[in-house]
Amino acid sequence: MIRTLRKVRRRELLNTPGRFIALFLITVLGSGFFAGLQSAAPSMERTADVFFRETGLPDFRLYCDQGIAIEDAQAVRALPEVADAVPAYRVDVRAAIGTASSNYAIHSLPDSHREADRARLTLTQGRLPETPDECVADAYSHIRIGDVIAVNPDNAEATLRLLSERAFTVVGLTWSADYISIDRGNTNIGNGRIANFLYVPESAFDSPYYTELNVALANDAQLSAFSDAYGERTDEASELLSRLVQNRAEDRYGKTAEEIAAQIDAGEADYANKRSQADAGLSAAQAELQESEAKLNREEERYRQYVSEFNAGKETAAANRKALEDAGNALTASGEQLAAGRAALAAGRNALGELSLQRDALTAALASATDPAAIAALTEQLGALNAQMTELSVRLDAQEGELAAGEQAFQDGSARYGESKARLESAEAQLATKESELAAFRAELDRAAEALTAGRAAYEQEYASANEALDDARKELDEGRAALNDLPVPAWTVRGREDFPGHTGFRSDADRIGRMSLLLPWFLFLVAALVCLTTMTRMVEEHRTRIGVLKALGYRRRSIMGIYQFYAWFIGLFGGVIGVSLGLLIFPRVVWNAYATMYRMGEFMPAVAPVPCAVGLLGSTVAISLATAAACRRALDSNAASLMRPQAPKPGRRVWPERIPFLWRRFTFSQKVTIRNLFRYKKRFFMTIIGVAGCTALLLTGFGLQDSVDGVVDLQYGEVSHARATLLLNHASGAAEETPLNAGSDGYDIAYAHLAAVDASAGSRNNNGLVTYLYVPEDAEALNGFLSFRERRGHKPVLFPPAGEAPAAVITERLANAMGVKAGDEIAFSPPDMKEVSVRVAGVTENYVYNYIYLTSEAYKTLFGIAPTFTSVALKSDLPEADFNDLLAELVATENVTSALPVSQLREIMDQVIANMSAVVWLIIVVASALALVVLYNLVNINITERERELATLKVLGFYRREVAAYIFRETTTLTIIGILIGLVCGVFLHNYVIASIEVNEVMFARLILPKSYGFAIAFTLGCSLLIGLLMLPRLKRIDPVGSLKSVE
Amino acid sequence: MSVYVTFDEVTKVYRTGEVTTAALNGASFAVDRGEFCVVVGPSGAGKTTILNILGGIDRCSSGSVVVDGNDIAKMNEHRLTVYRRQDVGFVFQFYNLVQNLTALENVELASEICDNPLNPREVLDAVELSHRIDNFPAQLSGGEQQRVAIARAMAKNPKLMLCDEPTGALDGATGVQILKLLQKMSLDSGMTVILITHNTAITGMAQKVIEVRNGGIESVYRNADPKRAEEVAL
Repeated sequence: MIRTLRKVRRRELLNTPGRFIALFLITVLGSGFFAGLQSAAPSMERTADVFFRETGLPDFRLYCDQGIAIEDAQAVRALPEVADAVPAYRVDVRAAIGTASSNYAIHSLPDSHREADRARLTLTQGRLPETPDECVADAYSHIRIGDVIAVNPDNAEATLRLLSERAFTVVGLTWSADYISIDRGNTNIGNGRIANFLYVPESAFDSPYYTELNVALANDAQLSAFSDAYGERTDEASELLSRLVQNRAEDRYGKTAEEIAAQIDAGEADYANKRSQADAGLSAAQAELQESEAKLNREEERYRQYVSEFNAGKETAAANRKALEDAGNALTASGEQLAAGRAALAAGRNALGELSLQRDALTAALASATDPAAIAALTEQLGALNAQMTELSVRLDAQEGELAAGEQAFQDGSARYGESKARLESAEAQLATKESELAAFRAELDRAAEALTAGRAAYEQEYASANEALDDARKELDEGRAALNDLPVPAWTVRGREDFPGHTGFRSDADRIGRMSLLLPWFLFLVAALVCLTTMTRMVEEHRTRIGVLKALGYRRRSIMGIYQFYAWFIGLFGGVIGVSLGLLIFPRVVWNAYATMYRMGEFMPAVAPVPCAVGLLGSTVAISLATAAACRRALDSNAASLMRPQAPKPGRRVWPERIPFLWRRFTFSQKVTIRNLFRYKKRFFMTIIGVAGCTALLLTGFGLQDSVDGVVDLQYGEVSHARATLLLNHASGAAEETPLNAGSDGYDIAYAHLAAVDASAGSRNNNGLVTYLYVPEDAEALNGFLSFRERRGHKPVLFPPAGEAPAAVITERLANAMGVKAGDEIAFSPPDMKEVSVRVAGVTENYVYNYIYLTSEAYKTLFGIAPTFTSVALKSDLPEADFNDLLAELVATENVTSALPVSQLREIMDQVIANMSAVVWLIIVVASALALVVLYNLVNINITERERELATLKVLGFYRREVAAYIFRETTTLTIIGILIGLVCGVFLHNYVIASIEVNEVMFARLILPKSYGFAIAFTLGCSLLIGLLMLPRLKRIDPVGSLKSVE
Repeated sequence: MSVYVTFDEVTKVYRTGEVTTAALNGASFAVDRGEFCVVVGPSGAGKTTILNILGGIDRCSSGSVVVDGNDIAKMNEHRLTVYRRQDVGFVFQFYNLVQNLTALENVELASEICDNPLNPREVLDAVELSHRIDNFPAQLSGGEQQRVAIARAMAKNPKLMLCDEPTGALDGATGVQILKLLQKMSLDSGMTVILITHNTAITGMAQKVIEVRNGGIESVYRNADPKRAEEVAL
């Protein structure tokens, strides 16, 4: 290269800083944005990969419903494809700190002797647990060191059996590589979500069987987890593992069945043995009892005989007694008679004595009597008295004899009576003895009977217990047999990383960033190319004379071109290197930081995506170089002489608006000038319009993005869905059933539905891999309060066809778009294990979260021939948040409810997404503003340098400074406004496109840009224009009419 | 006749890096109102500097420049702009028309900003270009372009018309036409016209001739009987 040319080259770089800066900045911006943004997704992936590798993230996690034996682990490890297979425990429990219950995943600590395992936990505070009752807890929580986490006693029996401890003291807080995101995953207890994790020593688990097996594949090639190669490899490995565990399962089944059968056989033998023993024992006891009974009966007989004998004796004695008593009585009577006789006799004697006295008196009276008559009367009286006395004496003597005889008889009778009485009394004494003897006998007999009863009862009892024991044994054996018949084959599950908590989300986030980074930079590239083209064209125009001189001096075309190509390459490479470096430094990190709140994956590892970097670096260089070549060619094609003549200024031309006189006349003079100028420089026109439009479109997209994501939450949970939680049921139920759920209708409303994921991937109108659910409300009418079926545009209600008509489905908008169908079209889908059906689309309803096909119960019945089972419940409530959570906890505790998913949780996740978006939006704003600034700066810079003469003329003519500024900036402003208008239109489309490409599977972002976002986009763009204007004012001031007008350049 | 322009001991020093060049060192002269004055001298003598200072697009390093009683050397930027706007008309060697404006519009560009403009169409008619008012500069010949430039200067109805080698880029006949126009204008409107040229042939038509050499005034003289422009042989 010729030395002078080299000098020219060097000076070129230094002498026109404005041009240099513009080109440099746009190159930096274009290449930086391109390389940086496209490296964001690879950087996310690399960070994850490094993290996965360092923490030894397993490629698979295997689960077995019957537990994993150490032999299973060994068998898996023996596979050549497997580097390691580490068994571990994990159990999900309801546990509480104080009274605050939530769901915890308790893991066994990784082996601290293995480096990779050690790396899985990152302690943030405290230490690792040493005893079984200690734990380290989730650092992303409110748990503190010293808290005691007590496992609730109401956990499932099998769960509690796994743990040897019931409470764990927190001794440290940690991050875990098992949880790359703040999502702790799902569980089948409580509300269905894991709140926090704990790690406890293995000794806190009490089971020979592990619950999971972490399998790491041999990865010598260090494949990225996000590469297709990894996908293929894991697909193969997954099949291999599935086959292996299937064999293990059958093995285990066979062994277990054998064991059980052997146990049953032994049990049967034992049973038979026991049975016969029991039978023998019992029959002996029974014989003994029978003998005792016979004996007792005999004795009883004898007793009865005795008793009758005794009774006979007793009767005789009683008769004798009676006779005796009669005799006694007769005796007494005769005694009394005798006594009376005696008394009468004595009275007679007395009377006789009196008579004798009377006689004495008479005798005396006679003796003394002198009167014969008296003697005679006395004698006569004495004679009568003597006669009376004689008669009486005879009678008394007779009486005396009679009485003596009576007394004799009485004495005889008395003697006889005494004899009889003595005899009777001895007999009676005999009887009394006999009676007591009988009583003793009776007592003896009673005792014997009692003993017999007791013996019988004992026998009965023994019999019963023996029987019971045997029955139990029988039952156990029968159960054993039934169990053997029903013995399940162990069910293994092979789960790849996509099923680890947070992994799918991360992958789709990276994909999303990747998709967005594919689209946006191209547009910036286009603007950059236009900027380069206009700038280089201008540069070459400015150098006409010099090119002419060089040509005239005999420099070769190539040498001259070299000057400019050097310039181009210098800026391209320099700007490219700086841009790519800055881009790599800024974009991946900003994007990563945006996601850092959601993910926890160690140090950020920027990745250099080679293709985008090369394209960013060389692309900008080649673009400038081509622009330069294009600009130079025309100049070099002209001959030296014409080049050295002053360039004919670009002639003025009439522009098409002038041909519309009534319009043209309305413009002021300066407006006319502006319009002509706008049409005069087409490249610049397009560069500016595209640049500004791009800026506005980017800004609108950025702000709109936030609106869209923001809008989803409010639209979905404010206007579309009114349910506050979804409950899942164990077994099908319905509104008509009497369940606690239906009964406890205080403070909430429910609607039953059938919910199942369906396959709609067949045929040309497939759902493009969208996860699609079939939702069949029990009562479509009642569901209206829970879901608003309406079209997004115009909010026209979407209705199910009336009952009786052909079945038709309402589908959600995202699904309709993916399938390319509208109302009236047919779609085909099949629920799990069911035939595929075709159904007409009744309408497309607004919906943002998840994708649904809605059918009425009747339609379902018609289509599938069976009634739907309602296991999903939408729940609506006006309760305040805290009460509502209590309600959910209460409902989850009822028997049939397996889990509850409150809407607030979904909202939290969405809010996180929005927070992430904000950083991206700011990035877009910065880039868009930079773009607008560079483009406008370049435009103004070129305008000013190129029209220096014109501006100088204006100055000479006496234009005030502000008039001169207006002359230039009116164009800029007009272009800015046109650019903004075009940008707003493009922005709406770009926004739609970006939204569509970053949409996650489950969510349709709102096609929504709020008026304020339009306002922001416009204000920012105008702000850029204003800023450039202010920056360029001094340039205008510096234009010196003297220098500019002196001569033709 | 009253004095309209007074140059008094005006110096102008250009400083380019460490080199200082004196373009004017103590130039003094006066021009009367309505006078047609020609400043003549070889290239580099300082005549353009005089014109620039007079036109308010350059400033002198010392001395005073009084135009119509106002010392423009002491004016600030804004007043100088007002001065240019209201009082001065400029005609350049290379016309300096705005390429993107038609002849009429170029004139309007000037007439729009001053207080007492002449009707642009009439002015263009006066320079005999009424048939080309809608043409762009590129569609006009050199003479026509210069006539547009003169019309543009005239339309402002300035008190002082400054012309910098107005015929320098034109062939003889066309140049004469331009001179004729300028002379007519000066006579008709009583406008003070100062024309600079290196061509001594033009001095014949001037009422006053100022000869400049090496940044100084060599001589000032009046032509008792100025020639008519047609008589000037370019």
